[in-house]
Amino acid sequence: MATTGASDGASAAKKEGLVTLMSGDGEIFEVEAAAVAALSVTIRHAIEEGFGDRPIPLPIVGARALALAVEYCRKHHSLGGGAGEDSAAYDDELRAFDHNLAKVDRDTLFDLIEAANYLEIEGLLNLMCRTVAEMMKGKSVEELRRTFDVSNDYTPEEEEEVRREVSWALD
Amino acid sequence: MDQLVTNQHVNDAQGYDIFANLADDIIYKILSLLGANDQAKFALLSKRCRQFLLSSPYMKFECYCLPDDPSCLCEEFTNFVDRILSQRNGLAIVSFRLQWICFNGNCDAKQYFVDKWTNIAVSCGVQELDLAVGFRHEEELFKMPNCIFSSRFLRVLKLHLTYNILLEPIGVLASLEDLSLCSMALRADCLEEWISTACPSLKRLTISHLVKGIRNVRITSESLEELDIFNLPTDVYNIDITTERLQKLSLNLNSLRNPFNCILKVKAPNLQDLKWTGAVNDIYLSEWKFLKKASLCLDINKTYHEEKTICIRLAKLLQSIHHVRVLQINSDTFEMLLLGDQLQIALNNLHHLAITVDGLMEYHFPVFASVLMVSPKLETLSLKYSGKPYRPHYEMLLGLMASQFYKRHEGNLNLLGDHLSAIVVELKGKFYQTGFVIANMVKVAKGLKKITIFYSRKHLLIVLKMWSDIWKVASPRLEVNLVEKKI
Repeated sequence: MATTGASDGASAAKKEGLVTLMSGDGEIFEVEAAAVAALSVTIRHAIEEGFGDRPIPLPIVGARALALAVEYCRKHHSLGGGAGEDSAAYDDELRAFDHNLAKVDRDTLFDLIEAANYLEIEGLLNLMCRTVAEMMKGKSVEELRRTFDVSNDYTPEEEEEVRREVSWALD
Repeated sequence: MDQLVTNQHVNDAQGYDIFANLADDIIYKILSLLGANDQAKFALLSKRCRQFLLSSPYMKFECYCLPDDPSCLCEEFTNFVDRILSQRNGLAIVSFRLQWICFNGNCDAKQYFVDKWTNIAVSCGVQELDLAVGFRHEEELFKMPNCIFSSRFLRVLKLHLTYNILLEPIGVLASLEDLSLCSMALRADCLEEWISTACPSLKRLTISHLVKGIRNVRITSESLEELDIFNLPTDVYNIDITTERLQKLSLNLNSLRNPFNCILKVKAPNLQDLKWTGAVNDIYLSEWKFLKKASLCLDINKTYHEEKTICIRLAKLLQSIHHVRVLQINSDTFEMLLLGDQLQIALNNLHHLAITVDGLMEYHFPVFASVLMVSPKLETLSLKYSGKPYRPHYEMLLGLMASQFYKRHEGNLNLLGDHLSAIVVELKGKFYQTGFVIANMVKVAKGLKKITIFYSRKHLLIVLKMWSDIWKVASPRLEVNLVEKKI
């Protein structure tokens, strides 16, 4: 994230081709408009509606998730979508990038899902949903409750009834 | 407890979980990525989780009873699915997957329920229907539930029938774009009727694991863009594909017992992407002027028929694909073409060529040099080891061809395309005379800028020797990269 970072604000002189984003916690990011607009429907619409000169407020997206989402857009914009001859090598690089991005901790993962949903970055949303699904696969009910902080609100009788109901699918 | 609630979060502190902040659509999306077992465990987490499972627009019901399994679960399964669907009350269903296969011996998946549940899915506007259902006995008839022919929303239909017989369609699936027919028996005219008559908007078609009974596979469609065929019955003798708009074709004909006598006709003038695995059929192909990418993996020696016929067929194939831009092919195809003096068709658009090799001998240099001579625009050449043991079939003849080649081209080997700027080699298994072949390529390809060799650690010493051979003949500007890789 060499060039993404908090700058001293929207008052800074506007550089050509850049757009300013403001995270929910007030951090300012100056990023390449082409890259984020290509991947994020929300930002594309904001730019089309004339937000290009002002910071685009993203109230529900935290700075950390926004930085990662911007990184995702940059990488996929520079390597993805091209039908060039190097597309196979690019695909490998993108897969490796996605794989690394999915290694974030649980809370960042859920923040990223919300960010991708709000920013309408379909690829990132799919990637993060797949990651959560992978985390869920093969875990016992107790492990799932611990991993996702789910408190059990069934009475023992109710739980037994649900267990009977889905018995065909349980091991 | 069975009341379906959506968009209504349970706010009491007891029910809190990390999913609470996620939009319902996202939770449904995550659930859709889980199998039935993990979905069931999700429902056991909390009341809210259970409601999510029951109200999901992506419904997935999977019950598979093994033979002699004492615990046949069909009854519990039927009760659950029937109850949940009966309470659906028109709530939208986007996708519906029903896998219900009982080999237990005690019961059968009942057509009554398949019909009833499919009917509910269709009435809830289902767009993707995936039925993996079958009855124990092969040759049992499977009739598609009539209701699907009245759907205006069905885009995807996947059928997996555990080798039952699919009957003719009784209507038109006007909105269907994606059809997959798998593990079933069907008659040739029935297949044709499904594709040509019942699916006028079909864009993607997959046909696989058909059982014997169909020997003539005819596919005619005006709308089809992608076609994937694999695991056909072993005795198919005619494959005829006529599709004006087809862009992507994937054929795996490895299952054919007698590929040499199987007629393969493909008339697809707009084809852009071809993937073909198998042997050399009796081919009749249109010229593919828009072909961008082709990947051919043909077992030349599978049929033990006379080389001349095989060579003529390969030349026909080369004629059809000669507009291709990116080509992946096994080296014995070129060897055979060279032997038959058929390597003369110009590949004028070829920019990138990847050749799969089992082993490289000295006589491979003339083979590849001949390919380069007919490929004036070639920029990158990749040689990829298959890792299979090398069994030369025409060693003597190729050696002879090689000496003739040297005589014929003595002194003018600079005829090779000067566009060739990069060679990539991926080594695996035994290398034979790879160093000789590469060093010679480096000598003649004047425009070469970069050579990259991928190798595994245990071959380091051999690779260093190869590198020194290359170094002796290379121009000082040539960039040589040795890259260690897990292969």
